[in-house]
Parts: sequence; C-alpha cells; structure tokens
Amino acid sequence: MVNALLVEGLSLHANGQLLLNNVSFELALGERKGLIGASGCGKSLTASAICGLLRPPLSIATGQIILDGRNILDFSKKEWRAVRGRHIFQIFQSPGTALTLAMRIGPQLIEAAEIAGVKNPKMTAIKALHDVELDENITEFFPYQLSGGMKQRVLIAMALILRPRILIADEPTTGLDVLTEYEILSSLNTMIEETGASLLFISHDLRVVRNVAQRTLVMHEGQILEETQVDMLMQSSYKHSKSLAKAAARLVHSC
Amino acid sequence: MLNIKGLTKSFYNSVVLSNIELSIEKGKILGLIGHSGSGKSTLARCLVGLEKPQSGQIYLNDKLIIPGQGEARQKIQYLWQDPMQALSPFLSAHGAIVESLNGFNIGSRGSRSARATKLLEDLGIGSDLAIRKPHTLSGGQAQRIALARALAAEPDLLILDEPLSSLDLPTQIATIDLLRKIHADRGISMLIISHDLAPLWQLANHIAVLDRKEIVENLPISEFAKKACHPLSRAYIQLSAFH
Amino acid sequence: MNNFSAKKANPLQKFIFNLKKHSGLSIGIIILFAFALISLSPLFITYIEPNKMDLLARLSPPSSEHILGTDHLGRDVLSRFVAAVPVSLGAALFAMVVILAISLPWGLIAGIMGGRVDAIMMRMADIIMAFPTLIFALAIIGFMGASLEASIIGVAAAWWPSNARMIRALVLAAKEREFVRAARLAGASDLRIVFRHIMPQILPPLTVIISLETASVLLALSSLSFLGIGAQPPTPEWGAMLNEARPFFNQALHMLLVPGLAVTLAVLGLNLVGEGLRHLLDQREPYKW
Repeated sequence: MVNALLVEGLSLHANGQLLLNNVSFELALGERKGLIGASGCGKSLTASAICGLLRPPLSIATGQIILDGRNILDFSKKEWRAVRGRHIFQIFQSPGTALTLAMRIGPQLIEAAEIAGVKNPKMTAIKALHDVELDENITEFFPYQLSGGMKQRVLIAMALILRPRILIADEPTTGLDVLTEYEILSSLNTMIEETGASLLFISHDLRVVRNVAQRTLVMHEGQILEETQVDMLMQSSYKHSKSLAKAAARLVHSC
Repeated sequence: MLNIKGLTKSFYNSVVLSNIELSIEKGKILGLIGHSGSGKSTLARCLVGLEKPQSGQIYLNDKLIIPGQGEARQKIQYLWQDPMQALSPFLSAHGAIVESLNGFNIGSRGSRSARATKLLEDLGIGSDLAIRKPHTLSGGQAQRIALARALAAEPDLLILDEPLSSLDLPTQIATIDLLRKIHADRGISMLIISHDLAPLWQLANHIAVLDRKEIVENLPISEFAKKACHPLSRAYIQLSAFH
Repeated sequence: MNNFSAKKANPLQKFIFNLKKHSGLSIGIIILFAFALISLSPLFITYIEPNKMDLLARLSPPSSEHILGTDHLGRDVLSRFVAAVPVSLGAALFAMVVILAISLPWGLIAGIMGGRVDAIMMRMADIIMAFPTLIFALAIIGFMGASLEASIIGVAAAWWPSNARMIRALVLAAKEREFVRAARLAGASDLRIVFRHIMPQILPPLTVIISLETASVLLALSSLSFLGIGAQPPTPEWGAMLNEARPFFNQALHMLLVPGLAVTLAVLGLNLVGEGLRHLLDQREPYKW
C-alpha cells in the first residue's frame, strides 16, 4: 500500500499547553478516512497542520507530516504554493474565505483549470459545475451572491478541476441544513470517485462520516484513540468512541 | 395559546414570510422545519419583536400582543441560535439571570440571588461555572445558561432557534434530553426551529414545514410520517432515516 | 482543552510582565509619570522663582547656578520649565475634560435615541465641524480676548463635535450587538442596558481616543500660546516660552530646546500610551479552533 499522506508523532503547543499529543496516522492512495471527535479535541488543528495553516502562538513541537516522501513542515512559503491546491486541497467549514471576493465564479474556475493545464479550460469549468449539480449561470455570480452550500459545492468543483491527490474536508457541512448537507456529500462522493483522491473527512457527526468513509480515526483531547470501521464503533472498547456512536444512533429514526 | 394570523414580512422588495397562519397549543411543542433561507428564523424573530412584520396579528392566550413590548416581552422568551452571542461578555451567568429576575420583578429582591443559583443548578451549571464569564465556557454550557435565563422570566412560550446546530453530537443529545426534562417539569409551550427532522421526532408534538415563505405542512407528529404529502416533507422524512 | 490555565502569578509580577511585553506603553507611562513628578517637585525642592529677572545674567548658557541657563530677561529656564508643566499639561487635560463633558452625553444620547433626535444633534455638531478647528477656536478667543482660559474654551468648543461623532459611532456599533438585544428581551431596563451593556463596550476604545486626542489638544493649545493668543506673559507655558525664544535662537539655543523637547516628550508620551492601550485592548483571538 502506498501512502498518500503520513502523519507521525505530531505534537502541537500553544502558550505552553499541549494541544495535540503524538498524533500518528496514514492515508493510503485513494483511501477515504474519517476523523471524528467532540468539539475542541484537536480535529481542526490537525487539519490546519496538514494544510500548513498554523499561526503563532501555535507551534509544532515534534513530529512530521510526509507528503510524497517530503516533510511538509519544512516547506517554505514558495514550496507551499506549489503544493496547495494541486496536491492538497482543503474544504473548510466557512467556504467564503477560500474564494476570491472580487472575482466572478467563472473566471476563478477557469483560472484553476489553466493552472491544472487542461486543453479547454472553459469546458472543464462548466463540466465541473455540472458534476456538482450547479447551474451554468452561476459563473456570472460573485461569491457573496451564493449561499454557504453553493460556495461549498463551487469549491468541490474546483477540486474536481485541480484533481488534488489529497482532499482535507474539515466539517464542510456543519451549520448547513440537512438538504444542503446531502447535496454536498453527494458532490463530494462524485468528486472523489472521478479523481481517485484520498480523503480525510473531519466531523463531530458520525452520521455524516458514514456517508463518505468506511474507516475512521477517533480523536479525544489531542490524541488519536483508535482507528476502526465506522460500523464497529459501537463495539469499541473506548468510552469516548462509544459515546460518539451512541449519540449518532440516538438521532437515527426508523419509521 | 399562541396564534399567528396572516403574518407577512418582507425585506425591501422580497417577501420572506407570506400570510403565515400557525398556532401552538398550551403545553405542546411545535417543531418548525425548513431549509436555510426559508424564513423560519425571521418568523421566530417576529414573535419577539426583533423584526417588525408588515402585517398580521399575534395572539397570546387570546390577547392581541405587540411582540417584545409589555407583558409579551416576558411571556415569550427567545433562545438565540448562537448562545455565546446572546450572553453579555461583561456579566457572569449568575449576574445575567439576576438581571432578568430584577428586570421582570420576579420574587422578592432578597431571594433573587438564591433563585438564580437554584435555576442554574437545575440545568447542570454548578456554582463554580456560574461565576464565570460566558466566553470562558463551552458552547453547550453557554446554551444552558441562555436557557436558564429564558426560564428565569417564567415564560409561557419558549422559542428555540436551531438549538442544536452549533453543538457537537454528544452535546446535541444532552440538549435534547434537557429540553424534554424542562418540558416535562414545567409544561412550557415551545417552538423549536430546526433544519433537521431527526431531533424533532424525539421532541415535538406537532411538525410544521416552512418552504419559501409559506407553511406547506402542519401535522401532529404521530401522523407526520404517514400523512405528510408535500415533497419537501417527504425529503426531510427520508433524510432523517437516511443518516 | 481550550481553557488556557494561566499560571498563578501575583498581580505585581503580572503587571511587570505586561510592562515588558508592551514596551511602548511602559515608556509612555514612565514619561507621563515623570512629568507628574516634576510638576509636584516644587513641594520638595526650592527652585529659583520662575518670574525673577536677573538682567545681568541674560541669555547665559547652562551653568551650575542656572542648570538649563537663563532666558532673554535673565529668568531661570529650569524653574520656568518646571512651573510650566502643570500649566501646559493641566490646560490640555482640563480642555479634554470639558470636551468629554459635552461630547460624551451628546454622543450617547444621539446614538441611543436614534431617529430625529440623532439627526438634529448630529446636524448641530456638523455645523461646528464645518469650520476648520483652529479658525473656530481663534474666533472664540477673538471674542473673549486672549488668555489661557479663552484658548481652552475655544479649543474645547471647536473640538467636541468630532469627539461626539466618534462616541456616537461607538454607541451605534455597541447597541446593535446581539447580546444587547438579548438583555432587553431578558428584561433589563433601558438605563441598565446603557450602563451595563453599552458603556463597557465603548470605554476601552474611548480611553485610547482620549489619550491620543489629549496629545493633539496639547499641541493646539501650545500653538495658540506660541502665536501669543493663549497663555499671556509672564505665565510660564511651553508654547509661550518657544515664542519668547524665537528671536534668540542663534544666541541661546537652550531657550528653544527646553520647551520644544518638553512638548515633544509630552506628546510622545501620550501617543505611546494611546497606541499601547490600543494594542493591549485589541485582543482578537489569534486563532480559533
């Protein structure tokens, strides 16, 4: 099995407090993996570290994150620019910040297609929009004219164009309503199937993770408790894994 | 208990709520679902005077009220979607509740501090947390404080705007249980706004569906799964089982 | 996990730590504290009488007898500088108090009442703001006759509208916060909302504005004295001292340097304190997770 991403012994400090403690996991090529845990357990910090978005007072104490045989923690800003988007693509909870405010959606997608070096950027952009079930006329809109769910799907369309090897999705549907959530998850599945990217899906909600991944990591207070099948979580020997599974079960209605 | 008659609200030229007719029976919980932008929050904010509707009447216990004014201000309490935003950073939990008791003149002046402590304890906020400022607390704790403050006013109707959406899953379950307990103990009528049917199965007596400014479905929970016929209602039923 | 457990430190240690972290603020505080000490020093040290003339020692350079030299009338520059501290700084502070006494209630009432009251109050302020500040002050001084008191009143009268506008803007932003509306729905009275929910929000930015504006007011008052329409001779005042030193700057540079540096340092101190406070109070979260 070839690793797309390897995180080894990652520890993170802020103001003398240990926020991530010896986090290790791997993501194989084309693998989809969940990362679940209660809020404040360090899930998003892990995502930020992988995407090179840590700012002071956060600092990495030990550990490495290996992408293509290179430790990305040593990357310079220039190296990051080469990697971000093409190799690692991130979708965050607030998609607004990831799109350029003063540019229409169409040119932004075409620009991405030019970076990806496809033959017909415009056609590629429109096809990507179709794949995430967005209307063509959205290319004429500015980001502020779109709802949160639509912006999230524009980002997924961008990922479709750029064909990254790793997609990090950090709570992409939190705060959105269930209908939008369903649409985003289907777009995400389409994108992953088409590009064969590896996926790390971060969420507090097991019900959502179940829709995109079979295996999941469980995080608690800055540590990875275990890696397991999503369906086996109920039988886990860890109390916190079990409580996450139980909470999800409580909200599943059978009628 | 609460009757909304012909409520219409528009922002500038776009109509957000059109001719809404809705009622909540005494001691019952009405769940209002709809996707974002359907106007469900606006409807709730109209009921407490945070927004002014263009037309329509609201009756509380068969009396016409002006939302947010006079007795209605006390009798209808509203819980913000983001409880942290609704709590003053300058007041402790205990201080915020005493402020409310003072404002509505509930109980004797000397008894209010003890009353606030008791109320917070009932909702699982011990005296160690009660003296802290809200921004040092978790989202779930902040929500329970906001809930305690709403209950301090001894309202007839409690409106909860997406009470679960800013919480993580285990805290969501705890909140559902807490709301059931409050309802069982106090018999307060509630209006719970949600974008997800799943928690409402366990809470609501009635479900209303709001779609593009209109109520398209309004059924008792026992009949909802079978009788709801609007496509949006069916989609919500499917999604709540799908997860 | 998110609660940073601050190390237990006694308040003094904490204070010293904060001073080290905010060096600009501490330098500013030290400067202002030094001025306060100097203005109190005549209680403990006997200086030469600031208005005592010694025509034989005119324009003499610093010496053991006159540490900072003498001016064109043979008066001791050091004792005049010391005597000017409470006059110059005191006038600026007093002017700021007058400005606040008008602008704070004006801005608060306009911001909270809104509507027609707000419109009328702000148009009145706009009328005064339409005049250039110093010109308006000059007009009032011209009407009252040149004196330090007239220049304080003139500056305050020309200055308060911009201050009131700023306070109104702060109030408008503060009262729209959701927790202020929530407090009203939870039963808080109007008066309580103003004093417990709105005032605490506007006080931190207001302190910053006050210390920065005191510096500007000090400069304005010194300029008026320099032009001869503020403090009148023989009152020791930095601006007036600068004016007196002007014809002799190639013979007795110390006459010019002492009040010049005094004004510069006072303005620097006030600005450092203002900027430092802004940094200290602007506690945006560096990263949220």
